[in-house]
Amino acid sequence: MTSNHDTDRGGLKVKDADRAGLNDTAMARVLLWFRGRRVFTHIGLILFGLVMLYPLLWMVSSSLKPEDVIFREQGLIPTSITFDNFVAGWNALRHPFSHYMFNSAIITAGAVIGNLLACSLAAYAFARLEFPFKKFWFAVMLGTIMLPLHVVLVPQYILFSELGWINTFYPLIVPKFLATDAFFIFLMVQFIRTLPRDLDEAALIDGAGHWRIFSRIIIPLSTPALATTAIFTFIWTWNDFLSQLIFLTNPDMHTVPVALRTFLDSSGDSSWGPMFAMSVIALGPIFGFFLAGQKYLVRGIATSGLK
Amino acid sequence: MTDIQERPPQADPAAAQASAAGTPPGVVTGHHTAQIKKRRRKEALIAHLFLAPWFVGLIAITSIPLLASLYLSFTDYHLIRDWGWVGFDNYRVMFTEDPRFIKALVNTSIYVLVSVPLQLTFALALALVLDRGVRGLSIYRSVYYLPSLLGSSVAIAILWRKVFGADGLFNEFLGFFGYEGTSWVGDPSTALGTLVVLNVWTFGSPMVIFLAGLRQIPPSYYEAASIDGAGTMRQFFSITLPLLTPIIFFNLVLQLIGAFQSFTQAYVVSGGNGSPADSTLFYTMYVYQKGFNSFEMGYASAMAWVLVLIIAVLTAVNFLMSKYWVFYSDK
Amino acid sequence: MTTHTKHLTRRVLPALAVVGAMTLTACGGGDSGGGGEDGDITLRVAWWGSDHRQRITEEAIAKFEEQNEGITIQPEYSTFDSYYDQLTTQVASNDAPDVFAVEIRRFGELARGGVMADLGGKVDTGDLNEELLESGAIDGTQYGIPTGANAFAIMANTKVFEDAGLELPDDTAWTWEDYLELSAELTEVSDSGVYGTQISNNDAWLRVFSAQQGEEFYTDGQLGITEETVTDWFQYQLDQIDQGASPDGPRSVEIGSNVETSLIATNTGGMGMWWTNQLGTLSSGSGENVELLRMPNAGNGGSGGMFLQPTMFWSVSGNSAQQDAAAKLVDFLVNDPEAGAIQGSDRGLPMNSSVLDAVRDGLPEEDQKSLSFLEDISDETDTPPTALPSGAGEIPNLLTRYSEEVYFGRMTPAEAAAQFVSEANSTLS
Repeated sequence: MTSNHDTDRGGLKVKDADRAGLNDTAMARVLLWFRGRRVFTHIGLILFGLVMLYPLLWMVSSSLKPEDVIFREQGLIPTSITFDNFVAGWNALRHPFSHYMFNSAIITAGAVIGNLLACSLAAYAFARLEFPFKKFWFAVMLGTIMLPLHVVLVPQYILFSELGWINTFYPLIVPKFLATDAFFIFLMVQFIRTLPRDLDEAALIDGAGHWRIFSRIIIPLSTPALATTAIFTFIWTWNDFLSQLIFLTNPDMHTVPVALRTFLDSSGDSSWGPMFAMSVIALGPIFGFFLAGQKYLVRGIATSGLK
Repeated sequence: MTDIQERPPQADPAAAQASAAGTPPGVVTGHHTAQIKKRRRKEALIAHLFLAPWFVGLIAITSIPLLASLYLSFTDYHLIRDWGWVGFDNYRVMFTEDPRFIKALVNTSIYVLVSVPLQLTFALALALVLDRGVRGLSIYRSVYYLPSLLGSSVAIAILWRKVFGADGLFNEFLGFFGYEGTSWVGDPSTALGTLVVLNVWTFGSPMVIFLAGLRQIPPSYYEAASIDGAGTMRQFFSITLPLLTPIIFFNLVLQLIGAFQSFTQAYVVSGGNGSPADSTLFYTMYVYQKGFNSFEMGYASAMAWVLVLIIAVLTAVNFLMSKYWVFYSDK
Repeated sequence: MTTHTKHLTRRVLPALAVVGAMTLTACGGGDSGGGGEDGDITLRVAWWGSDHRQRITEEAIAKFEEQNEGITIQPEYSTFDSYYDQLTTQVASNDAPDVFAVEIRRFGELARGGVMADLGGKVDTGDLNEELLESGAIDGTQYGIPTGANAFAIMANTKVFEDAGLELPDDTAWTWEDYLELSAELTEVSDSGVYGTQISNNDAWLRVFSAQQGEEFYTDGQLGITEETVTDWFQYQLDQIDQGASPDGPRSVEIGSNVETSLIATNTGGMGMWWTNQLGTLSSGSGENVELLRMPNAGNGGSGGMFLQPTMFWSVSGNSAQQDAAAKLVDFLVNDPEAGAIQGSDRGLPMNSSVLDAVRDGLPEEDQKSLSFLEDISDETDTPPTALPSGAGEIPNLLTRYSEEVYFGRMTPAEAAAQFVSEANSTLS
C-alpha cells in the first residue's frame, strides 16, 4: 500500500518537474498556486472522508455500548465501553461466528475465481472476435441482468432442487463458472475495448493465436478490470442475502449475512448489540480484500508501460 | 496519440512465443475470399469456444427461470392457491387498474433520473481528483468506498434514522443555520430524497471503476501530449475524457439498470412497505410485495417483464446514442 | 411424483419442465425428502425468530431427540422479515419443511391452500385453552396448534408519568377520550421531546376498536368492519397528532413500530399500544418500570374488545412423508413440561394448563406480570380470532399505508376509510 502512493508521488514529481522545465516563471506561478490549492483539496477530501466514515464509527461505537443503552444513548462516543457484544455475538448462534465466516469465504472464493475465469473468456470473445449474431448474443447477455431476481427465485429453487443442489454451495458457485454474472462480462468488454487494438494485431501478424493473445496480452493489460471484478464479486457475494437465504436453509450452511439477521426479530427480541459487533467483524474480510485488491487497480498499462 | 511504436516491443515476447509455438502465420496475405471465409469461420469457432461457459450457463441456468417467469406472467400464478392461464390480463390490470403500480413506476423514475447522474458525477469527480496523484490516494479511496460496503447492511435502517431523523445529524447541522427541520425519513415529500442521498453516498463502486479506467489510459499519451505543449485542461478533454468514455458509458448503462432494480436500500430503510404513504415504493419492492407478500407471483412476473422492457428500451437508446459520444481505442 | 418431474426435466424443453413442476406442485401431493424408513427419520423444522429463540428451541429439540431415538431434527430458521420468502418458496416448490411455525395472519391462507396436514387426534390438546385451540382450526380441521397467547394492551412508562407529576389512569373505566386527553396533557407538562403516546396503526388495535362497536373484523371472508368505524379510527389517530398527544406525522412515521426504538423504550413517551410479550423489551430498553393497562373503551357500555391472540401455530406439512413423527414433535413442543420450561414465554404465554403450572415460577418478572394481567382480564376478553381469510396477511400493510395518507392530509379519514374497505375486500377472498 505504501509503495503505491510512493509511486504516485514519484510519478507526479517527475511530471511537475517536466512541466516546470518546459515553461518558465508563469508555469512556476501556476505550480505554486496549484500547491496551495492542494492543501484545500486535502482539507476537502478529509472533511468529505469524515462524512463517509461516520457510519463505520457509529457502528463500531454501537457495538461497544452495553446492549440496553444502544438506543437510549445518542452520542457517538460511548460513556462506557464493553466487549460483551463481541463475546456474546461470537457465541450466540448454533456455531461460533467463524463457522459462518468460513462458509461465506468458500462461496466468495468460488464466486471470485468463477467470475474471473468465465467472464474474462466471454468478454474477450465479445470485445475482440467476430462471430455470427454477435450483437444478438450481446443483447441477450445484457438482457439477463434486467430481470429482477425476485420473480426467478421460485423457478430457480425448483431447478436447483431438481439438481439436488439445495443446501449445498453449488447454486451460489457453479453459475459463476458459467459466466451468469453478465455485469462483469460487460465490464471487461468495456475495459478490453479501451486497449488499443494494434497490440494484438501485431501479435496476430507474428502468428500468435487468440488464446495466446488473450492470456499473454489482454489479461495482463486488464489487471485493473480483473481487480475490479474480483473486488466487486467478493463484496457482493459476501453481502448477498436473499439467494443465500433461499438456497441454504440448513443452519450449518448459513453464511454471514443470513447469520447476522438471525440476531434480529421484528417482534422485539432483537440482539442489536451482538448484531452490530458481528457486523463490524464481518466487515473485516471485505475491507481487507478491498485494500489488497486496490493495489492492482494502479497496475495495468500504467506501470507496465513505464518499465 | 502518435506513439504507437512504443508498445509493440512489449507485445513482442508473447508474439515471439506464439510463432515459436507454431501457430499458422500469414493472416495478412489472404487475398483470396476463400481464405478470408476460412479465417472468419475459424474466428467464429474460436469465439464460440471462448463463449462456451457462458452459453452453457445461459441455456442450463439463466434461461430456464427466465423463460419460466415469462410464461408465468401470462398466468395468475399464486404461490399457494390454484392458478391458470390469463393471457394479457396481468399486463392490462397493471396499467389500467393498479394505481400503486403507476406510483411505483413514477417513484422509481424520479429516483433514477436524479440519483444516477448525481452518483456518476460524484464518482467521476472524485476519481479524477484522486487520480491526480493525491498523497494517500489509497487511504481516501478506501474511506470513500466504505459506505458501499455497508450499503446493504440491515444496520442502515437505524443509521439512516440517526442521520435524517427528526433528531438526526442533518437537522443538528441545519440547526446551526437556525433552520428547524422535520423528520426527513418520515415525511412523504422528502423520504425519496433521503434514498437518493443514500444511493449517491454509495458512489464507491462507480468511482472504483472510473479509477480503474483512468489507470488503463497509457501514460505515454500524456507524455506525448505534454511534449506537444497541451495543458492540463487540453489533456483532460482530448485524452482523459475520450478514452474514458467506454467506462463512463458502462457505468451509465449499469447504474441505470441498477437504479431501476433498486431494492435493498429502500426495503431496509422503509421496513419493506414503501413507507411513508408509498412515497418510497420502488418498482422492484412492489414486485416483491406482490410476489412474496400477496403470493401473486404471476402478476409480479408480469411487472418484472414490463421492467425488463423499460430497461431494455432505455439501454438500446443508450447504445444507439453511444455511437455519437463513446470512443473506442480498438476502432 | 418426484420421478415424474425429473423425467420431464430430462426429456422436454427445460423451461417447460420447471413450469410443469410448478403445475404439479400447485396440485399438491407428492412427498418431500426425508428418510421414510422406520427408525431413521429426519424431520425438517422451520421457524422464525432471533438468536435467543433459536437457542432455546434447539435445546427443546435436543430433548425430543433424546426421548425419540431414530428421529433427527433438521432445523431451518430465519428472521421474521424473510421467513415467508423462504417458506413460500419451499411450499411453491413442493419442498415444504415437515413442521413449521406460522402466525395467524398467514395461517388461514396456507391452511386453505392445502399446505397443512390435519393434526386432529395426532396431538394431545387436552390441556390447551379451548378457545385458543379453536383459532387453529378451519371448518373443524385442526391445521395448527397454538403455542401460546398475547394480548394487545396499553403500556405505560411510570418514570415519564412520575416526571410529569401525573398519576397512572384507572384502566377499568377509561374511554378513548380520556386516553387522548391524558396523552395530550402528558406531552404538555413533560420536557420537550417527551410525548404522551405513540401512534399505532396495528390491526389488533382496530380489532379492539371495532369490537367495541359490536363489529367483527372479518365476516364470511370479507371485511366485517363498517366504513364508519374505520373512519373514526383514522380520525382518532389524526386527533392524536393534532392535539399533540403524539409526535407529528413525520416523526410518527420515523418511530414506526420498532419496539427497541419506541418512545417508551427510550423514555421519551408515556404510553403506547404493544403486545404483552413486548413488555420485557420495553422495560429493559427503558430501564424503568413499565405497567400494563387495559385498552380504553368506547364509553357505550359494550364489550371492552380485548382478546387473546394466538402468538403462532405449529403446523405440519400436508406433503410430509413423516406426518406422525412430525405431529409427535409438535405434541412435545406444546405439551411437554420440560420443553415448556425451556421455552418459557418465548412463543407467547403458555396456554397449556399443565405446562403453565410447571413453568410459572421460572418465568421472568415481566412475563409473570403479563400473565397476571391476562388472568385479570380473562373475564372481559372476547373469543380469540379464528383463522383469518386468505389475503388477510396484507391487511396490516394496507392499514399502515392509509393511516400515513391520513397523517399527511393527503386523504381525509373518510376517504381513506372508503378506499381501505374497497381495497381490503378485493385483497381478501
